[in-house]
Amino acid sequence: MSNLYNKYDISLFIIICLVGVCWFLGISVFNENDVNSVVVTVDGELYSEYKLASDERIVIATEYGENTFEIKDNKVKMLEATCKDQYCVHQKEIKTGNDTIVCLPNRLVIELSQKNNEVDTIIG
Amino acid sequence: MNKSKKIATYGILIALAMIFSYIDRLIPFNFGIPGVKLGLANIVVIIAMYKLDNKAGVYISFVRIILTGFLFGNIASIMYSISGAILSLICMIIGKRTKLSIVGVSILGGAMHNMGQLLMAIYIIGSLKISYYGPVLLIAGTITGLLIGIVAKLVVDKKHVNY
Repeated sequence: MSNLYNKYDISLFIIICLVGVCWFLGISVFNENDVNSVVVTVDGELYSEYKLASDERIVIATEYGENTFEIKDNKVKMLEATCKDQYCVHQKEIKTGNDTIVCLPNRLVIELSQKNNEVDTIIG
Repeated sequence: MNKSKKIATYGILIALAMIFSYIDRLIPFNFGIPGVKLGLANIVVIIAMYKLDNKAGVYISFVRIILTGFLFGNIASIMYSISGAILSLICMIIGKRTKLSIVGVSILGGAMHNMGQLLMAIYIIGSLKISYYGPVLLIAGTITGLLIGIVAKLVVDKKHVNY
């Protein structure tokens, strides 16, 4: 089968796969595991924020469509979406800083992040 | 090649590319990864690039995207396909000038198609965070590109495949 491809093709294949692996490792290293807030963005703009520790069901209705997601046990899961492909509904629940739920047709992104806008402890 | 032969050849190749991209939607190749497809239509584009010229590949690719987009997709899917196709075609045309064979050019095209779509997704969503999905798309693109490249190579090497 060596006449099918040459050594340059194999090098290219290996190089691209290595880039992919390094990219993946790079993302894993910078992963934020300490997250406490759920950030919803619609069309690139901040839409709303919720506490990850809460336990609720949220409906986001915008001009692009309607999405329903649930925050439970420090995890976020998309329950319903009005989009055609339903990729976001089939996606796993998210729980770390690298995870996102994206609904491209409805231009909606749910991310997890670390927010320090709360008082941690009061020393009196 | 005279004008009427050119029109007929382009028409057949565009029709073939459209059927391939329809079959692409039917094959559940994505292993649960949304957006990963075989890219069968790229077989036609690569064969056109090698058997006709680069211009034919570019032309067939764009006409195919616009026609299948209107038939089975929507404006968003056309935008994703176009951004993937632009990056992929540029890289394939550059790759063709190097020592890479058809398989290498196809690997480059598959990987860059997915990268172009990722860039478009980053632009539309306005968040760099979805780049976490990049490694998966990049590796999936090289693997599908390899498979498509081998098929294209087998077809191009057949002596009786001529226009």
